[in-house]
Amino acid sequence: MSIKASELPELIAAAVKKAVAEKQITDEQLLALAHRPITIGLIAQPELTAAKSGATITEGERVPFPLRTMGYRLVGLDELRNTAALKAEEE
Amino acid sequence: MSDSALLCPSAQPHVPGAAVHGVVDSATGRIAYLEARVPVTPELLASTSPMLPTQVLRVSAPCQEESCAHFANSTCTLGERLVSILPASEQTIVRCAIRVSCRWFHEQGKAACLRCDLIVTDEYTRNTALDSVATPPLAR
Repeated sequence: MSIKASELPELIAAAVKKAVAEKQITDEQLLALAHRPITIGLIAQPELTAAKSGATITEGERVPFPLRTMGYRLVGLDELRNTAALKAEEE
Repeated sequence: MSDSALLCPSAQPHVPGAAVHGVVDSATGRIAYLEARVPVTPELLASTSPMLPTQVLRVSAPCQEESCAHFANSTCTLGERLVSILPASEQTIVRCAIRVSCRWFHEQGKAACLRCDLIVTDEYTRNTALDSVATPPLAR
């Protein structure tokens, strides 16, 4: 079934309502959203490599924040979404 | 069609040329597809708050190829893993506004379409199979 563009707002509202009701978003996740403007955007790989501090991120490490990105993903995006690491860097 | 014209079917909305082609169906949790792509606007993205737009919408945008962690050997490895790891969710393919220019369809054919509606671009829930699909080669 294809849906019309005019139906999109209603479908979005329903999907968001269900997701919030099912607590798919937590305080920790909201904190991550607050950091999102920092964590997304095109980052040239050399800069990204420099940003991956060996002290905070090790190869193969599963970051504690369990966001799974099923799609376009810059190298290290999950690591950049690690709010604990971001907070540590700010301090 | 040249590879440079192919669309990523699970893109981020900030990528130039991004448009919405699907939305999570609240009844099934799977993707319902739009008749035509809808351009991404700030208002549209704000309408998914407090969720990420990519938790609710499926966005397509020009494939970023080497800039994306999933791209290797001139192929989208995400599409490869989608087909090799996940079982088909549908028996027949449904109408999709981007199929003719979709990288996953271009490389994996109908097999990708039969699993595509399972893919929510950003999710917080845990699922081992989906985690395996989502993990790009460089992170393995």
